[in-house]
Amino acid sequence: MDFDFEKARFSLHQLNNKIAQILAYAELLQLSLTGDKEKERNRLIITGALEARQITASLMNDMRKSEGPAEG
Amino acid sequence: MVTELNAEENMEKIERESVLIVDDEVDLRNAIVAYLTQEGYEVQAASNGEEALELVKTVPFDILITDMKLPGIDGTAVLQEALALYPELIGIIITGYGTVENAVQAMKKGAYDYIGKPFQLVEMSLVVKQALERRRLKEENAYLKTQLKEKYRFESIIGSSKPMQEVFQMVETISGTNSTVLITGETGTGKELVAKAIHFNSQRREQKIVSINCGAIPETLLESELFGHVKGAFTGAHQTRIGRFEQAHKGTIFLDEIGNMTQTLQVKLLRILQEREFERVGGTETVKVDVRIIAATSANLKDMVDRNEFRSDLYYRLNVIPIHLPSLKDRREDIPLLAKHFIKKYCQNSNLELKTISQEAMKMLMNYSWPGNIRQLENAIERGVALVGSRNLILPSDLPHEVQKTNANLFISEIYIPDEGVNFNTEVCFLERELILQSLKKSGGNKKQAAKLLNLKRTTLIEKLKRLDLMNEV
Repeated sequence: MDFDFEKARFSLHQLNNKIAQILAYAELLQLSLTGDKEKERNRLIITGALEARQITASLMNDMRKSEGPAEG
Repeated sequence: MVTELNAEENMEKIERESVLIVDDEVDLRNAIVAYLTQEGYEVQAASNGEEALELVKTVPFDILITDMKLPGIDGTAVLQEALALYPELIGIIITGYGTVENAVQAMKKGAYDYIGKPFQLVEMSLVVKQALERRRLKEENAYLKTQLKEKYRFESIIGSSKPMQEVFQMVETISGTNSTVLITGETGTGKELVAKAIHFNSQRREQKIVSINCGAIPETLLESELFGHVKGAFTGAHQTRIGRFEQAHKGTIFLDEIGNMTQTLQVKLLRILQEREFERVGGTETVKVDVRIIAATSANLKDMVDRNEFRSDLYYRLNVIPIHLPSLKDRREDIPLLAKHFIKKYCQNSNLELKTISQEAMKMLMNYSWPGNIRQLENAIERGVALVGSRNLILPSDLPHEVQKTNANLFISEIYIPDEGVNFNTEVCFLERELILQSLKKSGGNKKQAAKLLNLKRTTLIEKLKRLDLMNEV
């Protein structure tokens, strides 16, 4: 069965939107948190989201290499 | 009180930069709105292109942040229409990983930057701050350029005397041409100001005017400064550097104290005047430039030519359009105008209430010989404004010591204007002659001492002695 690049790209795009949402609200939360422990826990969410961002970027690049330039 | 508060609030509202966020994903959109609002921006949001364009038509936003992919009209089209309405608008495109190429296209169509999704809000905030800073610098640059042009309009050079009116007329006439100009005049007479006035009234005004004082740079460095050098041309030439002529390409170069150039450099300059080309120091490549040359000197170039100190062919090439700036003592009637101009300038610079000058102090300014010309007068006024303190009137005691020594009543008591009037220049010339003769008498014919008594350079006194045919009196 052939790999469905179109579907994979769409899924990655959706995943990116979710990561964007997690990052944005974690950043907003960081501004209002006062306790050090809570801030540290929230920072872990941000770090996790940033790592997830790198993974999706890497996957997207691998797909581009396999398939050729992506269309807008 | 209530009105005042409202006014303050409105002022604050006006001063805050306004941002429009366009994104169809409601959660992300709300997060961006909340973050940028907290950062102090006035933020509005739209969920699609149509809604965004409706808002853009009613509010002049500073920044538009739009997702590339939107239902209906896409982000690029929204930005293009918004830019057509407000060319100063800063556009930032949000793009997914697959649409970077399109975002680059959007930048070509006027977007300031793009930011890839998913992004940190702090990253977006940074892009916004950088964009606003760049726009501020752009606006400041445009403002300073306008100020510069205004400053060097020849109408802003002070002087209503006949010799200065002749100078203005000449500057106006030659501004439209590309001809080489040679400005002569004693030090401090405003040669650079006139050169800038010529440039800023010429067709080259949008380009640079590059100034260099050939007398202030050591002979060994002047060549490299003017023509640049290639890497390794001499010890310390670690990299290739362009010179002033290349910097002034398409614009104007102002060569002050041209008489200080060595014969070798004179040859190189002559070639530029003839061919508009040269080689950098240590280089073999010929560089072509399109430059208007304005040269200036306080020396008598013609005499230097006669003494074989200055090339005659270069002199004639430079002297296409000669402009002579009169010394301040030859245009004493401009002193009150200049003094008032400088008082205003230095009061404004120091945020002081506008000061006036006493009649006695003004008479001293009128009677002093001003060997340093306008520059010296400006310095004297700057000192006067600095010393006046809380008084509103600048008094003789606020003026420099050498000016205070001037007899304030000299002109009033010794000069009588008959009903049929006088020839001003002849009278001034007569007074100049009298002063020189008296100083020579007092110093027993010693030119150095006579020059000191007149606050003149010895060479200037000798020039005057020659001009007034007084050499036999020494």
